[in-house]
Amino acid sequence: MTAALLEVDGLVKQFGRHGARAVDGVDLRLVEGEALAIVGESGSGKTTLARCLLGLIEPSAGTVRLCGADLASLPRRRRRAVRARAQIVFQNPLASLNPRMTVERLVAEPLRLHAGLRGERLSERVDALLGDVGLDAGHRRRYPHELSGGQAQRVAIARALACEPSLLVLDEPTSALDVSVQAQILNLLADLRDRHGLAYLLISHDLAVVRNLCTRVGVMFAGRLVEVGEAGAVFAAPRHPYTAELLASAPGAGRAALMAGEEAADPGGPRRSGGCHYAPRCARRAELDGPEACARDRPTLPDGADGAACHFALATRREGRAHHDEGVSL
Amino acid sequence: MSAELATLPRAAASPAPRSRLRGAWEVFARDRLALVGLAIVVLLVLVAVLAPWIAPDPAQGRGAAAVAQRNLAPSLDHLLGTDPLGRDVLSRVIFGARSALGVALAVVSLAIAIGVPLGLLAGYRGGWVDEAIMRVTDTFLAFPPLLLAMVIVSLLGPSLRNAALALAISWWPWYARLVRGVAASLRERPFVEGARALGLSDAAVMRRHLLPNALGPIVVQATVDVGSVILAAASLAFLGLGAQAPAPDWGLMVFDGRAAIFDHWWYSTFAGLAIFLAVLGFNLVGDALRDALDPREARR
Repeated sequence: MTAALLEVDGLVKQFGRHGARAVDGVDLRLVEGEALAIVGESGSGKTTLARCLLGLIEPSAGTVRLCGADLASLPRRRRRAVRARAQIVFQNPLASLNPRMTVERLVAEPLRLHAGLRGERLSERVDALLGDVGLDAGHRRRYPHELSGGQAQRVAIARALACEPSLLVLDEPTSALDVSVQAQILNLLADLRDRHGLAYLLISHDLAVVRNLCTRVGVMFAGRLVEVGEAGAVFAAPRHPYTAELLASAPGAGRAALMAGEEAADPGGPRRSGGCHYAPRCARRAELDGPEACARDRPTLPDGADGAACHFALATRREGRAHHDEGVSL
Repeated sequence: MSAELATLPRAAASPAPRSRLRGAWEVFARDRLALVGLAIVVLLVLVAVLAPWIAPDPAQGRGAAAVAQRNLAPSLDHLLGTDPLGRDVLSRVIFGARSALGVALAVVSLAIAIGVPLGLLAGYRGGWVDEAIMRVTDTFLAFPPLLLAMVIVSLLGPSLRNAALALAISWWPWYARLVRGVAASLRERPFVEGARALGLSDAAVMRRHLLPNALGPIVVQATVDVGSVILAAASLAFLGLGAQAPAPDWGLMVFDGRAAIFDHWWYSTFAGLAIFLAVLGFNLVGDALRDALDPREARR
């Protein structure tokens, strides 16, 4: 078994003392080269989770271990090196690039910082990275606003790659882009993963993107992972009622946004201390005439295995859930 | 490609340099008042730099008395007349530009040096750091700047240097507040978070990513402030708390001439005019810069 690249234990992020828990007890494990997607409606805590993983915000509880090291307990100098192993690509490429820096300087910045490159060697490496993401030397002197959205996203990816990360967190990497460009960026990402053996943690609500890039998927609802499994299996035969709802709300097959409606962010009513937090919205529970367990015990994911956090998980169509990426339609 | 850009949210509304610099100049050049202001500022700087060569009598400009020619009215020999000590007023006014600009630049630089780092820190860090720094600046801002400067000079003893120091102490909070606002608005932007994810230290994020984006507002504020500080320094000198005789200083000259304003009007008047022109020039340029550097501001 490959060593764990990322280990998350009981991660909680609460905003304000009595505020909502954006992330409410997430356990996660990612090995080298793995591609995991986190899907869920807006407000389910996906992005907060990602920002915690990168150490951009302090978790309220729980630990994040990157390459075996707990970010929070590392001394500053070591933290910088470990942190560089995980990089992020944001949704809006123009907003994620400093408007006052040229492409050249943007890509060179992490190279100076981590590899300590200067002069000729720095310049060569910048060229190599730009080539890696499908840009040429002609783009070096441009400013972000002089680039197209796709080009800007390529620069953002080059900048992330400059740190030679093991893990790339992709926060909706294509949803701000034009349709024709989305595919190019997806291909680039798939390509880079093969070439550099990167692990991806993809945050998305676009199932087409998820299927394109990731083998595994975690479904998030109100700050918790409710189902984890092989992407094909989860999409074909969801076991958590929420996953089923999410899939059903995706219009048509193919590329579709999974944005749930206004009620999405709030599971309804004050969050109770016990019981399943999806219960108030759960169709399965209604179907079963509101069994007591749903209100009494908090369901958990099976330890270290794929499955759903539900007392009455939907039956899988096939028991051996692996390998049926083919023929899955949404 | 244009279709692609159209689908992107306009989060890129933040200024971008180089090509924008040219755009800014075009906006600036279209503004006639701005050009008038620029002409005044350039003239002032030239006069200050070249004072020893263009003043009719540099020695008198610096303060040497010439009692034989006291209180002469403006004439071809002395274009702006002479003062009670017989010094050529034109020379005095020309040398006064040095003192005025020197003080203003020193004060504004010092205020920026103190205020900008504090503002960046407050805006970027937020939380209690922000609270602490902003409460201190609020305390300073609660006093009228001139009053605060007067108190400080009274404590330190009147001199040009102490006046500059006092003005800087009462001026820095404006920069702290201005920069704090910019930094706080940029803090949550993805490019700042991305810079942190790269592993940049807080200092590097502030210097390389926040500061360049705050330069526009700082430059605008600094330009307007040069004018305000010239006025404030002149006020302090007028009150006897700034430059001391026989230094050539506009504020001092206005003070010295005030008693004889009806008999020898030229002494105070030309120094006062110089102050007026300097403040006007820097204000015009500052206003135009504000419009040129931030088109959104212009439409308000």
